[in-house]
Amino acid sequence: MKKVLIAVAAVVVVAILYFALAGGKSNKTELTLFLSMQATEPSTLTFEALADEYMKANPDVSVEIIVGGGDSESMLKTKMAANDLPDMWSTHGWSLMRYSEYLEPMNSQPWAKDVSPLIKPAITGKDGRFFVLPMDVEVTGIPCNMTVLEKSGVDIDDIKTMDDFFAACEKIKQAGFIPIVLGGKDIWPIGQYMLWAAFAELVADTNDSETDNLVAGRFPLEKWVDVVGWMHRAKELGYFNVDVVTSSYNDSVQTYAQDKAAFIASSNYAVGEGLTYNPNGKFGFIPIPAATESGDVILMTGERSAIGVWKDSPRKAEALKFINFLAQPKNTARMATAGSNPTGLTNSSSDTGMLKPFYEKYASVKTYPIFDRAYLPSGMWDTLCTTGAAVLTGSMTPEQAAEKTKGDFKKLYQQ
Amino acid sequence: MKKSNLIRNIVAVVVAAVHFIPFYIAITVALKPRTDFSSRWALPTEVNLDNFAYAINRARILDAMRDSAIITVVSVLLVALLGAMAAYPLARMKNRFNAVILKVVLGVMMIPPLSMLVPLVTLMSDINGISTYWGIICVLVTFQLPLSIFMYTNFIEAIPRELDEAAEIDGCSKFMIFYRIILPLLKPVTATVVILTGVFIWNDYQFSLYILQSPRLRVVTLAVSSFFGQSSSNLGAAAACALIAVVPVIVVYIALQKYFVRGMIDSAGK
Repeated sequence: MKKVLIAVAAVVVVAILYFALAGGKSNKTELTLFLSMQATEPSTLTFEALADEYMKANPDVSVEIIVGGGDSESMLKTKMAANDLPDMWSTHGWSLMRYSEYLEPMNSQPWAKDVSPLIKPAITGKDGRFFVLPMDVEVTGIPCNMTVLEKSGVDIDDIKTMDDFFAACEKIKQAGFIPIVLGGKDIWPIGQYMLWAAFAELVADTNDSETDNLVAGRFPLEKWVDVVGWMHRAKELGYFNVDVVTSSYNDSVQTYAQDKAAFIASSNYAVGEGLTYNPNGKFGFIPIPAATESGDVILMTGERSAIGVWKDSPRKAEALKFINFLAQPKNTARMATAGSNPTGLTNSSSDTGMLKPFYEKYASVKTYPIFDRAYLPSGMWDTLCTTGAAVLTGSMTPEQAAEKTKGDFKKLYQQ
Repeated sequence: MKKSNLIRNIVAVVVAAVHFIPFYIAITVALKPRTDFSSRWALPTEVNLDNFAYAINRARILDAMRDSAIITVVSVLLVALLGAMAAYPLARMKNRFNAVILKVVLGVMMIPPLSMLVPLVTLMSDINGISTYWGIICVLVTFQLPLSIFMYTNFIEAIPRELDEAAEIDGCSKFMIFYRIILPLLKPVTATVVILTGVFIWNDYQFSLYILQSPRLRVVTLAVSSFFGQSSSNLGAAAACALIAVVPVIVVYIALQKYFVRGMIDSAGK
């Protein structure tokens, strides 16, 4: 027994000594960059490569990249509450509404004048301040599989309204393909579809736009019934995959990549994802159709690889130096190319690969910031997803879903 | 073979097969490239080890296993030792104060750990415990100690008091009674505590996610989760990572199986 106790005590002492010694700090300035991405994404790999280059050029600085993965949001929320944030983090579309009070304004940075007009409205607050370096821009519509559309006899140029879109879905269904694949288990793809419908009904027709009402806190209940109606109709007409509620987003990308589905409830990054599964796939995207013929097709823009600096970071100056390194044209071009996106700064350009002809074709299409982040109070994204899911499962009618959305809108708007 | 034995064996094989299914799926997924769309039930036509390379190079699963092993061993040792030491006076000195302490310990077990996440992260940040071995060990030991104290207290209460009295007559101090007489009798319950806390700590995700943020210090669960992003995931690499991570647990469990089973049976009988 004595020997056992001595062994236990020895292990504990050795362990404590090890931890004490292992805790020694180096003389380097240690910066942390938190990414809301997974470890094998091209954007993550590019950030790591850029950080390595920066550290080689600046041996007194180390940049530690933390890959937050799927729990990034909850992790950042907890860290905001604890006021213990990383020096820099990717804001995944929330630089204004969620993170701006924790972020350093970037207006005085040397590259500020070069921020692309594509992304500027989405990241700039009412007071003109913006808080991130947008290395690339997510310009997105509805991702589509060109092989399936070709085989179904659908011409994407004919799709201008939601009725056209549904007519195309009918053709695709008749040809034996899934018109719209949606991985509802992960819930956010349901929200993505709801965004399309909301844009179509409430934004696309500038003469009948509801954006001002929404921003002023007036909820258009009747029109919202129509928004949810597009989800309800697609379900009733059998345009979704049969496992729409139980399949994951990953499953939906595989279905899309295997030339089994024409459209996917996602953003344009589904194209890059699809190519990792099927390098020979032919993918593209269409703008979001309008609900009526008087409306115009539109595209959404938002943050993708956008990095902000914690305003209270003890290493803020060094972090801003790193941000300025990332903002160099060759670096933004590299990052944007990795994600097949346009660059976020006008002084560089990227190779958008397979999507290049689509970006060129839709260059004159009007872009809007992502709907919920621009026109709905913070927290409404969850409502969009859950009410959409309720309609998909049949537990709510479009009218009930719209009432619930109105209730949440009023509650969150007052907060 | 008797008919009853045959049925028993068939049931055992079916149960074992059901338990093996997740491993089988993980193996097939891990051995296939992303471009392979065959059913997850189908074996790969050719072995692809890219996912294992991702697990080792990108998620650095081997480093994560080392860190997990250090954290688990030290935490389990502390939980067992401190738990037993705290339980002895609680079990032996029956007074109102100790009854309250025991109830508080039990009460702490009822609090959902995530409900105090923000103050916990704030505290750990204030004392520079984020991304350190000692920080995560402190947190894990703190949350596992109530269970350990509770189990040891119940077990020690069942040990006859006469043993303590005999030792006292022979001149043992309280500490000597504990270390020489009581502690050796605690092997069965210690096996249970080691299994419960060891498996919990090895599998811990929620605390590690918030307390360990540096890629230089990460545990196996964080390594596996690094392949899941908000808008993309790499199931093959995650499966390969999980398969590598589960190996030491299986080896340890099989190697110590007889002790664990005996410990659990003895513990249950007390």
